[in-house]
Amino acid sequence: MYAVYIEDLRKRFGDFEALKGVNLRVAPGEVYGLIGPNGAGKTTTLRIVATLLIPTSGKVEVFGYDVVSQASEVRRIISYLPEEAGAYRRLTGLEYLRFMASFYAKDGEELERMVEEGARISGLGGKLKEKISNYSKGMKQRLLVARALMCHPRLAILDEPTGGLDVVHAHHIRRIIKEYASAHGTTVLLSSHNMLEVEYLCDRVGIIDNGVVLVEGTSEELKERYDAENLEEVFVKVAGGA
Amino acid sequence: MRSPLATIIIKELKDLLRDPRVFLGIVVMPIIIFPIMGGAVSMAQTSTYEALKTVKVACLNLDHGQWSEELISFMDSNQQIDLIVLDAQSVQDAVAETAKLGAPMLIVIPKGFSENLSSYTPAVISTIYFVKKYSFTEPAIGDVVNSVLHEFSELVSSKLVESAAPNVNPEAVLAPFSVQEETWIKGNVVRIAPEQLIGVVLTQSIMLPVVIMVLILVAAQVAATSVAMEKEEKTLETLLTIPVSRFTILAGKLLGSVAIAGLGAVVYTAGFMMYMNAIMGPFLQALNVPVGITPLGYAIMGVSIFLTLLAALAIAITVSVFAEDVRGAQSLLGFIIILVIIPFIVLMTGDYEYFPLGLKIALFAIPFSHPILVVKALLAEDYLFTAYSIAYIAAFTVVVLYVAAKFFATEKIVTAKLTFKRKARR
Repeated sequence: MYAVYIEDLRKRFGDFEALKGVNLRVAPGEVYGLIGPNGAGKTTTLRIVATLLIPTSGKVEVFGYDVVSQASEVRRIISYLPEEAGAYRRLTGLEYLRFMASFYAKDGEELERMVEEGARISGLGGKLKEKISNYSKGMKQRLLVARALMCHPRLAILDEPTGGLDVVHAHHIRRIIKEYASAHGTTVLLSSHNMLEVEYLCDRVGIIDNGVVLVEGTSEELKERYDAENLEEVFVKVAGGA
Repeated sequence: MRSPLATIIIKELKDLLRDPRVFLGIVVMPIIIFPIMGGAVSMAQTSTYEALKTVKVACLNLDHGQWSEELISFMDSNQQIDLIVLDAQSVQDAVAETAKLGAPMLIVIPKGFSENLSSYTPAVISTIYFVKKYSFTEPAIGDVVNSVLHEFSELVSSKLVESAAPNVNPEAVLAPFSVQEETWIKGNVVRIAPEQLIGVVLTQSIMLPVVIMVLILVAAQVAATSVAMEKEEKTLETLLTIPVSRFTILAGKLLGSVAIAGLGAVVYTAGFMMYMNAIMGPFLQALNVPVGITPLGYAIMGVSIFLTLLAALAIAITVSVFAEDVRGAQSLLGFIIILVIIPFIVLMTGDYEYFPLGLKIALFAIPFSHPILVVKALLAEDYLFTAYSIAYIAAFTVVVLYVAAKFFATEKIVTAKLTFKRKARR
């Protein structure tokens, strides 16, 4: 069984066809990176997997559950981090973690464990007692990534998890995603513009453009196939340098 | 462990109450605004009272007879009137002189005034008002002078009756009988004029709808802001992927807003009552009559307000989903505000009973009319109407909630968008 199984996925918004037949498989425990230019269809694909959008046609399953007919089962095993997501500014970091953990924990003990883990993953220490409105963008993103991982999802869907962050915060987030995924066997489906990040984090990479996944493979496979020095070069060759 | 619904409601309460806009709008504003309004109204009343303590009045006596001299000394002896007798020879000169003196009123006693009175022929006194500021004080000045002139007229009548028929009691001629006004209300006959009674009831029926209208508007703002903030900060997307039903999320948001609106209702009602007491309290206490809404009526009114609030909140939440940010939500909410204000104005200025059928149907169809209609029906003890009203508003609310829940269950909650920003901004 695949962690994520996408077959001939199409999505229309009125006259605009955002996805034109996406095919994608992610194995359990794999960290899969979806890369592509702006408007390629990355976020739409992730939103469909996260049960936010309904496919126009095609099949999307998460650990065997259909994202449309079994959306509530899917929501129990996934954790989604939207691009440029925010948190409730007037709650403290700790209150936010507790709020989110309460939807996943079965009892008070598990709730406390999740909150503790979220606090540890975020690395924000005493700052967690402050209101989120006082956080920098990097601190907020660390909190959000911690929130997404603390509830032990089988699939973490992370849309641009380090987008717009400075080097220090981006490094911290990459490190915790990598460590967490390998320690817990969590499947991660992420999108990114940062090729270095994708090379560092992902077991496999898919390049998407104009609503279609053009190529898939490990970074090494892709570099070899396209005779490129790095993933950026592969990307430019595949996506046509647009 | 709390239920997901309770968790969302508590989060909503924390988030909304910590929002300075909500806190200022719901808690601070009424506490400040209503006492200021009460203070301003009583200050205005005090200043009018002060202005009427002594009224400067000019008088042109073209008669110089017995009765005109008596009238001048009668007015002069009145402490409220500061009388200035003019030396002018014509009305025209007297008007100019009065204007120069800054007196707000000129009394002209015409030639032949005394002669007419003495010969039992009705005479005419002219009073000229100098309207300058169009303030409420100006007509009140006229009332003061008229009342003094009326008193003098009664004195003259009494003296004339006395001289014409010395054996007759002048009072029996001038006022052969008096009227004792009483009103039947709720099975009791009370010694009070109907206009006074209706005044009290109207005060109640105006006060309650004002509070209800403000409450609906505040609640709708709170709910719309709450959803728009979620959209603006993209927390809604996260919330929609948690393992909780969309209906629970909608209900949590609704009930959180209802709780805040309830707090607003208490504070606004208390503030408004303080305001009404400041300006009406002594008058209402003096009347001491069993009028107004019964405890059962208040319960019915509460149900009506609650259902209308739920409908308003469900509409506000659904509408605000179309907005990209808080500002967009406020713009969309403008349409709801119109639907709240129109029935309020129409029902405040007219009587529903006498409206044409089309207008009656339109007002009945607008859910926000109903708390006001129910208050009016309760004052008239028309419980059948309140039953119809509650049945309608309940059905309306169920439909709106159903639509809102359906809407929340679709992807439109993420994709729906109406933009109010100018494109040139980027």
